[in-house]
Amino acid sequence: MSALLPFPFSNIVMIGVGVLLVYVAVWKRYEPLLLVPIGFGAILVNLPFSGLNEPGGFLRILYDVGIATELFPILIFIGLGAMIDFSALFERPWVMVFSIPAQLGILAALLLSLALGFNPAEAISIGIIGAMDGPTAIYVTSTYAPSLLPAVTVCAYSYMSLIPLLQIPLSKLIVSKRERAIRMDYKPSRYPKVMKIVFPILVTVIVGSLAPKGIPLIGSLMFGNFLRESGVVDRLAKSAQNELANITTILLGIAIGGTMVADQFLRLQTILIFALGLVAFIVGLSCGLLSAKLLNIITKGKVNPLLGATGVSAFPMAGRTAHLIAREEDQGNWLLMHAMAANVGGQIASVIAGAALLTYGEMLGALPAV
Amino acid sequence: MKRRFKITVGGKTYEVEVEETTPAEPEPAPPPYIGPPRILTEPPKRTPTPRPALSPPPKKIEASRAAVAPTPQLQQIQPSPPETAAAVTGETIKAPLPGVVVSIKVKEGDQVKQGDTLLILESMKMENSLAAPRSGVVKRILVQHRASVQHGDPLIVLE
Repeated sequence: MSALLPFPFSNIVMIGVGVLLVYVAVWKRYEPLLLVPIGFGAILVNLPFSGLNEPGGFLRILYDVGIATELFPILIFIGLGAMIDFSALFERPWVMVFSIPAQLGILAALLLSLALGFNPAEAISIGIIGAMDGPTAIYVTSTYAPSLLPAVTVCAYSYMSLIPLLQIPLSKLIVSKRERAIRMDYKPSRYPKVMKIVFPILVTVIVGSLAPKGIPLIGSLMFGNFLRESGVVDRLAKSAQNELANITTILLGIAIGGTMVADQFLRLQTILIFALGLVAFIVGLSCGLLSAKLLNIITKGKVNPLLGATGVSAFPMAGRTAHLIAREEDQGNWLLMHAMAANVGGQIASVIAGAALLTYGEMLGALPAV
Repeated sequence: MKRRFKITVGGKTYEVEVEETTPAEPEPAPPPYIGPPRILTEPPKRTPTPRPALSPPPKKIEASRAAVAPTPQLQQIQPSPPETAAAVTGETIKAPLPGVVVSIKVKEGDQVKQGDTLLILESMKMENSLAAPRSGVVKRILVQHRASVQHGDPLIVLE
């Protein structure tokens, strides 16, 4: 009756990983919306004889339907677009400048992965962790290197939920106490209301023509935002924000959890991916902070360099963290509006970075897996 | 979600735009009144928070959900001149961010120490506590629970 003890050690470890994810989500509140379904999926799929990842198993069906086809990240983006309010960004569009250096983490992790011997398709998938955006990472990785999906996804979401633990020490290291105390003027510039409606279309057309393979990403995000801002389809915008986003999050999360099978996850490369992901986060945040320091010098002290770390995606945690660091030392320092504006700018920038990698990845020799 | 309302108060028509920045949640039912019978002189409060007896009329009509609700008693609310805050001596605490007042921690007449939380302002879905810049007495509270405020709007006068 050896079949009674078919519990390979590796499955026990993976169930342990699933339990750990559920634990940090439930008791530490780290990205619970994603880590609960992912963790539970990981537990389910590693129970022996569950057959959930075999053809016909429900996790496999969800994977085939929603992740291999890249449908779920796109649906998430429609919901996300309907949730994002760009008005803080329109009021101070200059904060977009932080978004470009903040994406350098992608480049750092990509080059480092190539140097470590990953092939270009894998290197791009690891680099995209530096976009600090879950759906973008899932979309790009399932295009180039689907076998890395569980490691890349869990890595991206873990670090995103831990962003304060990285952002606070880096900010304090790079930005001096005097600079952190800089108070910024609250001077929202006025913009024509029609901007809010034109913006999603304009961004889609521009990004779409420069990086056509990224149209599904930017297009779905901006479609969701258009539902919100058009003002005539509130019902649809509400459904996108709530029902669509929630249902897709459940299905996407559990399907990703279902990819966490032992023989794909318990490898040296998973540890490497987590290390490279950490590099991507640290480089992205640091470059953002350094660029803001530079801008502060150029503007003769008008910019609080803490804002630099909000040029990443990791929305809204990065923006809130910058605000809280500033307030911790000076209760009267209110960076929130600037930080959130830069943070939604970072959200757009990370999607654009994903679009660029999808379109120009071939120049690195990376071919889409499908 | 922006909604436009036209409100007539004391013969003057105001056009207001209300932006809801928090997800809709069911309004809590007013607590059952268990005291002796009383005559209702103002619209029933929609929030269970106790209000100071000398609460000023809502300074910003567009700010208050209760005032926007189409109750027939609306005419009773008199618009107060915008100078209210300036006319009172003392230090005016202004809203550092646009947002919604989700909790008022003090009452008029309360003694506060420097650093005490006066109210909580929710902005960009984040709750921010507003602390007293110095010790003093809360002279006026110029906003109501759930009021939405703009940057620079006066909130509380300290003396």
